[in-house]
Amino acid sequence: MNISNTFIILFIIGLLLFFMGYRGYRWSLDHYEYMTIGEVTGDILNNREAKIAAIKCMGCHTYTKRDGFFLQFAKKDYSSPYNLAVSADQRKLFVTGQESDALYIYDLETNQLLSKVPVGDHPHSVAVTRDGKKAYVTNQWSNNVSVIDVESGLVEYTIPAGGGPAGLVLDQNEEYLYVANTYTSNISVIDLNRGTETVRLRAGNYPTGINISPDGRNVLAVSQRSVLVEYRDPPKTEITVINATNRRVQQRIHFEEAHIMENVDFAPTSDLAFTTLVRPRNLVPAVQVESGWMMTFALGVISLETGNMYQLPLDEPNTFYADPYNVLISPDGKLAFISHSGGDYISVLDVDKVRDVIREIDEGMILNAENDLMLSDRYIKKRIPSGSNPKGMAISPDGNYLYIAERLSDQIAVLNTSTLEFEQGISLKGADQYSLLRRGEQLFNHSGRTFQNQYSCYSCHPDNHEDGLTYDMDFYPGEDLSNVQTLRELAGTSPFKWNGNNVSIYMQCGMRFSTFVTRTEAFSPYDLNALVGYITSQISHPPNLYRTETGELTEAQRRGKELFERTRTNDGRVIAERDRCITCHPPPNFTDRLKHDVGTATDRDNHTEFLTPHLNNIYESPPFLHDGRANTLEELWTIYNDDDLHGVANDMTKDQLNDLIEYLLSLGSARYHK
Amino acid sequence: MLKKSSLIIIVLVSGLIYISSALLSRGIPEGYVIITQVQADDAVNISGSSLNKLDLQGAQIVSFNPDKPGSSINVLTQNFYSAISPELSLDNRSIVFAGRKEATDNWQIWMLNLRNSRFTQITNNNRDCFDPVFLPDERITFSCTWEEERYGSGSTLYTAALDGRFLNPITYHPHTDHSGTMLHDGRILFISEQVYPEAGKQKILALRPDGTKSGLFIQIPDGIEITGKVRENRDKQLFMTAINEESGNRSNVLRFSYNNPYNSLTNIYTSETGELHSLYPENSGDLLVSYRKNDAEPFGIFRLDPQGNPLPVHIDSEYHFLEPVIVEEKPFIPRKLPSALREARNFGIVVFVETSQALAESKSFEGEKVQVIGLDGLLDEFPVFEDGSFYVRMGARTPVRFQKLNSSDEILEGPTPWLWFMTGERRGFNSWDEKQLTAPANRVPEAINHSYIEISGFDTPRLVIKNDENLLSEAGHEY
Repeated sequence: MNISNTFIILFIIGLLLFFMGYRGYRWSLDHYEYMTIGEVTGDILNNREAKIAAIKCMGCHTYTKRDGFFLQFAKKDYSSPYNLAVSADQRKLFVTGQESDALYIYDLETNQLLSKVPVGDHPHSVAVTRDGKKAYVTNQWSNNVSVIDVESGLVEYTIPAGGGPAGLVLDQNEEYLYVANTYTSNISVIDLNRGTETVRLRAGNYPTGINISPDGRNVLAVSQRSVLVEYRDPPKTEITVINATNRRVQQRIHFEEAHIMENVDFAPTSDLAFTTLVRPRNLVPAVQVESGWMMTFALGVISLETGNMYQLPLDEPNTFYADPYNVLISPDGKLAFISHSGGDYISVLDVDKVRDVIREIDEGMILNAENDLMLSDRYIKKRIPSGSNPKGMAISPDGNYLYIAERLSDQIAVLNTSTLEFEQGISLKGADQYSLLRRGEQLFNHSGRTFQNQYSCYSCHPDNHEDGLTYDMDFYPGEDLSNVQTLRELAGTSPFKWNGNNVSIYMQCGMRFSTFVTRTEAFSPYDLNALVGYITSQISHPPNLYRTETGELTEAQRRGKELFERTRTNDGRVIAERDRCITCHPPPNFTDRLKHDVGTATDRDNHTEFLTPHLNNIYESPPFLHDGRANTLEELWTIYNDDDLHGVANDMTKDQLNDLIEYLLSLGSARYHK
Repeated sequence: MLKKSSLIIIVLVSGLIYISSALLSRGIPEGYVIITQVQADDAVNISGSSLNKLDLQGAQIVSFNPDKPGSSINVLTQNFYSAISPELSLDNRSIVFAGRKEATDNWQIWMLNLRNSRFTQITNNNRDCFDPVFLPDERITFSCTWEEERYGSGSTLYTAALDGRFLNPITYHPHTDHSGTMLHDGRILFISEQVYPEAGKQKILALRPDGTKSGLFIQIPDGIEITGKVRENRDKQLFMTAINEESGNRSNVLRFSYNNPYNSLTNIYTSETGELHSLYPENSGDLLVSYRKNDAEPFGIFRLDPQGNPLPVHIDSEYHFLEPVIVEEKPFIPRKLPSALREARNFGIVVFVETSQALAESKSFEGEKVQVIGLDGLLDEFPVFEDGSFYVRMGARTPVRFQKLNSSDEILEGPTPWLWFMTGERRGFNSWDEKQLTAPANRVPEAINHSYIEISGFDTPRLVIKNDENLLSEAGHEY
């Protein structure tokens, strides 16, 4: 819709409402209430006039539109520093700009920008050679690594990697580069002399962080998502241990009841590794937030000598430190730093005291350490408030300075590690003020709007996606379990929730959300506009890994498409329209936005009909079904479709089912299917 | 025709009237202190007594400028027989307090608009109501007494709108609940002592303003008795005055952090000979305290600096100065907590899991059972599941205690403190420890794979004010 059409329609509606007088006003209230609140479910909503508050009509009808004209007025350009590296001579700082698709190189003596190097789409991490001549940048949405000549500030060449390359690390001799490929869940080992990938090692589920021990022997890769587990079993997340000598996977170890492990670092003595992690309580009924009943955050400790693993809480009884992202141990091994990207804090840990605590755990003096909210007092030395959304950190080789990428403040904070006070930071010179949508992004990533700061939107929707878990949110425990759904490209897919009760994101994030999910004060009207605007207009799918570069379907995908759209069974019977895939899953979003009974309800569900989910980038979102029962797409038809209620599919051969799934995997962003 | 000079006079007079009314309507200037002033009378023993239990004839709410020693004080509650416990609204434009218009009146809750000096009576009943404090949503919370032949006497926390409507009890246990204040997270912090079936120790509890999620905030160590309200400052530090029996009843100022109360409880000041009554943390970091150097002197207002020196601010040999509050920017605006309660659901949901099911896996819970005890005896008994969990649907607003027994009927755990659940409240307990300082293990509690145990509730009107007791027709009137 162009601008003139938008104006004309808004003008006409405005005129109509104006001339309808009081009836127009009441209609506006009714419409507002329907879109933002819906059925009143508690004694909380008794002042109708107050509810209208200041959710401006313009908010919902303008900058929440994904490609709307008005979006430009609510948006500004930012760099969004994500991860960092410091040169061995401590003279240069390398910063990836996630939104500006660039690598920034700063002179640390003057804090001046030396060069801004355009790289690929969504640069994630950077590693620098010891001589400071070359930098390697992973481009998460371009599926490659940029090799940069630091002196000239130019990309020399790019090396293809797996899907979604994120963390990376050089081996001790700087001959091999290890790259964690998030979306394809593997690790590329790149021979730097030949400039090519030599082997791709299977990793955990969504590996993001990777590091090498100071003695050069072990590479550890940590994962965001749990490996697939039995239905209603606790999540467990893999740490892939790679032998750096032969570049082969040596061991797969798991942190139980944990996920979203984003980064890993080693003590200088190479005997301990630290990782950040989240301990969700998705199997426990969400009856309260208090006492960590929704989730807690912890430091994962791996003893490379004994093989023992420990989870040490980072929270306190009444305050939680959400979304730990990066962990770094100082060169002298005395302090560890953790960036809490959801809490806007840096936790400083005394490593010797961490060692004391794990010794006491080994000796049986501390039981249930992983759930003990009092324990962090033993090893947390200081909590330092930071800018918005602290992500990657780098420490100077002499250990004197810690550099922190404050992603949504668009700046690098510099922490003096002796005084633990901030010094003059570095601005990445993005927009000089926060736009409405940036405010929305900050709110999305911040836990401050949850009771006791326990979790942010990101906590269940990391990288704006979903965490692969099913939560027990219904009033009656154990009923109506809810599989978390992605937030990517929601435009055109309303209503929301598996029961379809939320007709808009305003409703999803409004008063009901604060009442039943965050359990603290609701967003102000301005903040709700900002948050909804961000979610509906700014979150995209990464490129679909199963689509060909030209967008043409492969032979198997083409066959799968025919099955998806078929009207007859293999033996020639006509498939009723309601039983065809495409009837309920029409393009461009592959959802008819209606509820259907497809035979997937269980005796613990209070409804038999569920909202048809959209299928764009569906391959990213296992497990499947409303309660997360199906670990794979195959299971939808091989286990949970006995009566052909979820589309007629029981006549399909194994090959046909494979083709159908190949096609489903290729369904990307709606813009490809219009 | 008016002369030019007359016009000028009219304009000048109008201007003066406008300016004076503007000045008057500003209320009490920033920096002023509001206190309870009590005649220093040998017959009145302030020490260790809640003010609402005393007659306190002539007690008044007054304000003064602490920066001008010796300046006059302004009596705010001139027409009251007695008035105590002032609390400022979030915008500093009003105070609420407990007052008695006549000697024969009970303590009732009143509000004074500091801009126009209008009083509003918020409660009007035959109980004593006291310790009011503003909530962030145009309501207040306060305590009112109850007395019952079988259970003794105590007090209950209530909320109400500023005009006295929507009077709503929010605690339902045989306790004395008093000294409510607000935490920045939106919960009400209050002091509570069990009175039935036996007298209990002082505890500091917190609950949401809708009466849900009541729980222990911090257990006061043995031998310590809190003497005033617990107050939070802008750095999430909480302060209280207390008497320590073990140190010869010396007066102390205790501090603990919101984040981690147990690990941070610290005695920051001990008075060797003097006595502390109440305190208020200033934004500057100092504490304003009601303090006297010895029993022979009345309480005055002192400033306790970070070094622990009480410096006099306002003292008068004829009056006690108690319960200071300061007119200054609020250290925080408490969160407005939403409520998920539904009157139609006359029950609450309770899920209990063992501290660590990982640990519990090595333990057998076979033969163990839970008893639910009400005010008048045993309400129900049921076995725990193999992982030690249980799941109960409990009648709302019913005080109960749980205890766990083995197959030989020996008590293994509990009884818990008195608990209650509001209409539609959902609650989880992880272990039998009242402190609830551990998070649950991430396992499906076996109990929720089965239907809930239904336990009927019963009404507890004797512990709370019934609707027809509060004479709302006379409340909410301005004077």
